[in-house]
Amino acid sequence: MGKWIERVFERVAGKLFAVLLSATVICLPVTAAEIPEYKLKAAFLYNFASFTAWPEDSATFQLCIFGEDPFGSHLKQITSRKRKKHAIEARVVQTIKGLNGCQLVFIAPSASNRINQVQDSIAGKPVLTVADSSGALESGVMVNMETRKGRVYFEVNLRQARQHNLTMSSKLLRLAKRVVR
Amino acid sequence: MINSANKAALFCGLILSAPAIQAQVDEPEDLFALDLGQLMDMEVEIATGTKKTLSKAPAAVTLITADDLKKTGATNVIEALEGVPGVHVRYNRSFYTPFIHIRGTNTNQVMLMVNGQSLRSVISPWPQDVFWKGMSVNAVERVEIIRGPGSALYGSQASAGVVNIITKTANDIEESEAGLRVGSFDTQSVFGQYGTTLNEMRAGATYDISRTEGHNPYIVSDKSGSSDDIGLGYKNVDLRTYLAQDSWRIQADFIHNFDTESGLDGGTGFFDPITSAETRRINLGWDYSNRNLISDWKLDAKMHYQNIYSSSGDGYYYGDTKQERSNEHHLTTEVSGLYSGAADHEITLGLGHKWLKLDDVTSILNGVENTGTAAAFAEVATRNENFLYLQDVWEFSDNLEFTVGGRYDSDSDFDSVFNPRAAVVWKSSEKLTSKLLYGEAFRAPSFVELQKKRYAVLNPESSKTIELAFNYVVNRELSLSMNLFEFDSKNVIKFSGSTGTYYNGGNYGVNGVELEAQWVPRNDLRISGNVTARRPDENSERNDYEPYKDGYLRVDWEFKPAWNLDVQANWTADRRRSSSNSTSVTTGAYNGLARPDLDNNFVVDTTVRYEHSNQWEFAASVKNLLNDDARESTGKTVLLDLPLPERNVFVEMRYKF
Repeated sequence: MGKWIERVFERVAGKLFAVLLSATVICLPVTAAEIPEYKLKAAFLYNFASFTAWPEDSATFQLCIFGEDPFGSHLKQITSRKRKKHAIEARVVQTIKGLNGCQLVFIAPSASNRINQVQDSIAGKPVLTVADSSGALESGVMVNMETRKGRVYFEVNLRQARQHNLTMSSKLLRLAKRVVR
Repeated sequence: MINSANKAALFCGLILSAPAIQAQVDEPEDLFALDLGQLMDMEVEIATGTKKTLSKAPAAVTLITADDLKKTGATNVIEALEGVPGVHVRYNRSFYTPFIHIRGTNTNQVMLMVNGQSLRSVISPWPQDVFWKGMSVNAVERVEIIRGPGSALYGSQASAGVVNIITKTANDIEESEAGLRVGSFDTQSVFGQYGTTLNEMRAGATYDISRTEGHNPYIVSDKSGSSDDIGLGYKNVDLRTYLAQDSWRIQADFIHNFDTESGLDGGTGFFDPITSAETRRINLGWDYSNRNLISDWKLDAKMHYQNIYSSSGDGYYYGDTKQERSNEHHLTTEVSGLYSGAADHEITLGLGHKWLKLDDVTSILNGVENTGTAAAFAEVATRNENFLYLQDVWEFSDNLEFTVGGRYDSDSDFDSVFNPRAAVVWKSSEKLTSKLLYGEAFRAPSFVELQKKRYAVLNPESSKTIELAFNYVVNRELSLSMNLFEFDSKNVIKFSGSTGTYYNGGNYGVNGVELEAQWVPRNDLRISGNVTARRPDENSERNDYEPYKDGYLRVDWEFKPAWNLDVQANWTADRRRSSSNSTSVTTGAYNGLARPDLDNNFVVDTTVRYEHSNQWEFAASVKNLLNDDARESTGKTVLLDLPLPERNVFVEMRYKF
C-alpha cells in the first residue's frame, strides 16, 4: 500500500508542478482596476452598522474583528468615521472572552469554524454579527457577504437580528440578495 | 481553426482559470461616500491576506503558526520543520539529536533561535546544545523559517537558513488552558498556559512536563557487530514566564532535559545502555520597544542571558565509563532603531555585544577526574563579540523595492568579518512578485574547534548565495511559488579523525529548485504542498546524508463545523552514498558489507481535531500511518542506518478556562 502511494506520488507530483509552473510563466497576469477586496468590504461593513439600529447607543461604537484581521490598513477608513455622531472604535479579538462589549462582530474567514461559539457568547445581547463565509447565514450569522463574478453582495438573517433586538433598515433588506425571515 | 494565441489562452483558462480581460474602471476616491447599491456594482480584486507581506519579504520565508502545529498534530517543533520546502531533518547516531538541514547543506550552516537568541552551545559547532531533543509545541506562537543567508542581520551560523521559534508571550496568552497528551512509546505530557492582568501589567506562563521511553529502534549492527534495540527515552520540563507592560517585557525560562538515553555512543558507535545525560537551561530576558521616544524612530533594546549546564552522566566509552560536564554563560546586549523619517526609505541600524564564557569543563574517567587540558574535551575560555548592522529598504515605487544591508562582526578569537546582502523585489502586478536576492554569510568556529585546530590558523566558514524567486497568486484559491538558488561555501571546518583536530577543508556548493503551491478551493478545504530538487557539487565535500529530492503534501478538511481532519505526507527521496561511506566498518560478520543507497521515506501522518465547546478540545493522531520502514542516513559504523518511529498514536485533550 505504502509503496504504491509512494510511486504515484513520485510520478505525479513532479509533473503537476511542472505544468502549474509553466502555466505561471506563460499566463502573465491581466491587470484591471479592481478594488482590493477588504477595502470594499470595509465600506460594506460601515454601511451595515449605519443601517442597523441598536436598542441604545453607547458613547463609542464598538466594532470587533474576530480571528485573523483581513482588513489591515483599510480598518482605519472605518474608524476615521462616525456612526450617528459617535466615534467608532475597532479592535481585533482572538478569544470569545474578548468579545465582551462588542456591538458589531465581524467573524473573519480564519474564525469561520467558530461561528457557533460566537453565537453562544452573544445570546440575547444586541450584537450584530457579520461574516463572509459561505453557509454563515445558516449558522445564524445576521449578515453574510459573498463574492461572485467579481462583485460583493450580501444576505440577511432578519430572524436572528430581531431575536437580538436589532432593527434593520428597509434599505438594507431591499438590497440584500436574500432575506431569512 | 485555433491559432496559437487562442491555444495559450485556452491553456491558461484551463489550468489557472485566469480571469478574462476586464474593462478599466477607475476606482472611486472615497468608497464610504457611495451608496450601498453603488458599492454592489464595484469590481472586487482578489485578496491575498497576510501572504502578501510574506510574498514581498526580501527572502524566502515560511511561517508555521500555532494553528498549523495544532492541526498537524505536531508535538515537537522538529516534526513541523520537515514540511518546510528545502528543510530536511535527520538524526545524529548518538541521542538521535535532531539535525536541521536546509538546502542540502551541513546542519552547522543553520541558525536555530528561540525569540531571536541562538540555541548554540560554545562547545559544539551544531546549531543547538549537544543533548537537545527539540522543543515542545505548547510554548510556541509561531516558527519563522528563512531559507537563504541571514548573517547580514543575525551574524554567525546563518549560512543556509534561519529557524526562529517565537514563544507565546504574555500578550498572546489571552486565555488559560490545561492539557494532557498520551501516546505510543509510553509517552505522557501535561501542558498548559496561564494569562492574567495584574494592575496595568500582563503576566503569562506556559508549562510542559513530558516523558517518553522513546521509539527504541532495532539496530542490526553497531560498531561491535552486535544487534539490539537501543534506548532513546528522556524526560523534559519546560517552564516559561513573562511580564509585560507598555514598552517593556521581561521573561524567565527554565528548561530541563534529563534521563536522556544515548542509544549509541557518540564517539565510537557502540551500544550504550548506561548513559543518562541532562541539560539545564536558564534564560533571562529583558526587551524594550518604544515608538514615541524620538519622532520617526522605533527604538528597541534587549538584554538576554542564558546559562547552559550539560552532563553526559556516566556513559560508555571503549569499555570504560566516562562522564563529561560543562557549564556556560551567554550574555547578549543589543540596541537597534528603525528610522522611517526619510521618504520611501526604511532604515534599520543596530549594534550590540555578545559575551560567551565556558567556565566549567569536567571529564571523569572510571570515577577519576581527568586533569590536564589534554584529557579534557574542552578548555575554559571566554569570547567577546561586537557587531554593527545597517539595512535600508528603499521603496523605489509602488511595485519596486530595493534592500541593501550588511553586518560587521568583530570577534576576540578571529579576524573581523563583514557580510552584505542585497535584494530587489518587483511586484509586476497584483499577482506576480519576483525577487532577486544575494547574501554572504559566515560561521564562527566553536571553542572546541579553535582549541583543537590542526594548523596555526582556523578561519570562519564563509558562504555566498544567489536566489531568484517568484510568487504567483493565480486567484483567490490558488497560489504558487518557485525559488531557484545557488549556494557556495568555502573554508568549511572539518574534523580529522586520525589527529582529533579541526581544519579548513575544501569548498562545496549546492544548487536547486523549490516549488510550492497552496490551493484553497473551499472555506473548509485547504491543500498545500511543495517539492524540492537539489544538485550538490559531486566532490568529496558533498553532504552524504542529504536527499536529492523531497516533497510534502498537506490536506486540511473541516468536514463538519468544529472538526478538522489533517493528512500530511513527507517524502524523502534519492539519497546517494559516497564511496567512502558505502561499506560497513565494524567487527564481526557485518564488517565490509556493502551499504546500498537508502530507500525513499514516505511517512503519512493524520490528525483529527474537535473543538467540542468554548472549553473542551480533543485531538487524535496516527503518525506513520502506512508503517513505512523510514530511515535516516548515518555513518558507516551502523550498517543499516537509523530507523525512524514505526506507526504510533497520540491522543490529546485541552480545557480552556
